[in-house]
Amino acid sequence: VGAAAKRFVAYVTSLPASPGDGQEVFFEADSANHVVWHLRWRASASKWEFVGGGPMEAYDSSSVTRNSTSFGDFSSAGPSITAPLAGDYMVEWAVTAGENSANSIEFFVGIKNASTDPADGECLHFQTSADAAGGSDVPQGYGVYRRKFTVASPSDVLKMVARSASSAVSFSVVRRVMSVVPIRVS
Amino acid sequence: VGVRTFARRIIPVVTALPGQPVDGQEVYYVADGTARIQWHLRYRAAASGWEYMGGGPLASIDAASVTRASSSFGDFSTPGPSVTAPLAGDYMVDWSVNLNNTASSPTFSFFVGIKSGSTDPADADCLLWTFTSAVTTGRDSENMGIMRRKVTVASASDVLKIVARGDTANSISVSLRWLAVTPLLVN
Repeated sequence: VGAAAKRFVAYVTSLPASPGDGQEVFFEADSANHVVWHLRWRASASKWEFVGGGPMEAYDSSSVTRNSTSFGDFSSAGPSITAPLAGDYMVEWAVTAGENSANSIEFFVGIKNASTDPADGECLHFQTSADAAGGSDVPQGYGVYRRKFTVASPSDVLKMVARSASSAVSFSVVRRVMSVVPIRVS
Repeated sequence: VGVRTFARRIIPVVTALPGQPVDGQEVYYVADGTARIQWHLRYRAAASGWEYMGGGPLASIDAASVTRASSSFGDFSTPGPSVTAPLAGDYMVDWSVNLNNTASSPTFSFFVGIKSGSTDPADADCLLWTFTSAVTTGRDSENMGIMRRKVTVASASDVLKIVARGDTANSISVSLRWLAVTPLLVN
């Protein structure tokens, strides 16, 4: 008999506790912006895999600075996104490096995952020598990056942070944007 | 003998949204039949709209080198690229251009954003390049930019288009313009 039965896919704000293999949900990731993730439980991985949906996004248009060799906040912190679930995410971020006045400037812009600072090798990397700067100003540069991050606990915060390289030099960025979609979560 | 039973969820493919949807109703909406772009949408009564569950973006690209020299937002020498939003609502829009600055006048800014219908973008929602004398005088610069912002479309068939403004003294050249559009909540 080829009769088709209608299967209900639940719209949830928290994941079911005891899902069956192949179970699907629509998870409300960001109610204010109507970001909903379509997730499917894969028993062999003990994870919900991402089937579709839009990204969570955070943005700050302002021009901000940082002057430290340690990773940390810009003069105005963020942007940041609170991960609603533990698991693996694809994070994309971008900034435009400002009109920096120092020569031989080098700095990194990455994503802090809860209390864990990024590795330099997983950051946007801006570097300009005195020659390239023309002796006075460093031209603007734009960067966009995408990396996988593992979020240990729900409500951990993914936040954009930065540091200068070998010496503390003030540098500025503008148009900070980041977005997050899950890969597999639990 | 064991029998495996498969329950199938039948989701209709539609070219227009149902007139009186109920909470939880789903459709595969044909956003672009030619490019085979379908959006999986689910009606949410509490939001009085259809939320996006998946599907590809509507996209448009123009590789040509074009210019603009105006302090008002408007078209490049060749307009666009643009996407006609098939439904009213909120969209996530990605866009990018490759900037080729050959201006010799110092100290100016250049904004590239998305015009929605008749509404120009705010400067703060645009890609931004700022140049000062040390950068511009006697020097060319080339710089790619990419941006992602939520954009509201007031009416179905409104056009989302890349526009730009700078200042009147400098003609700015860009190439490789593209934008990609996916819905968030539509009607």
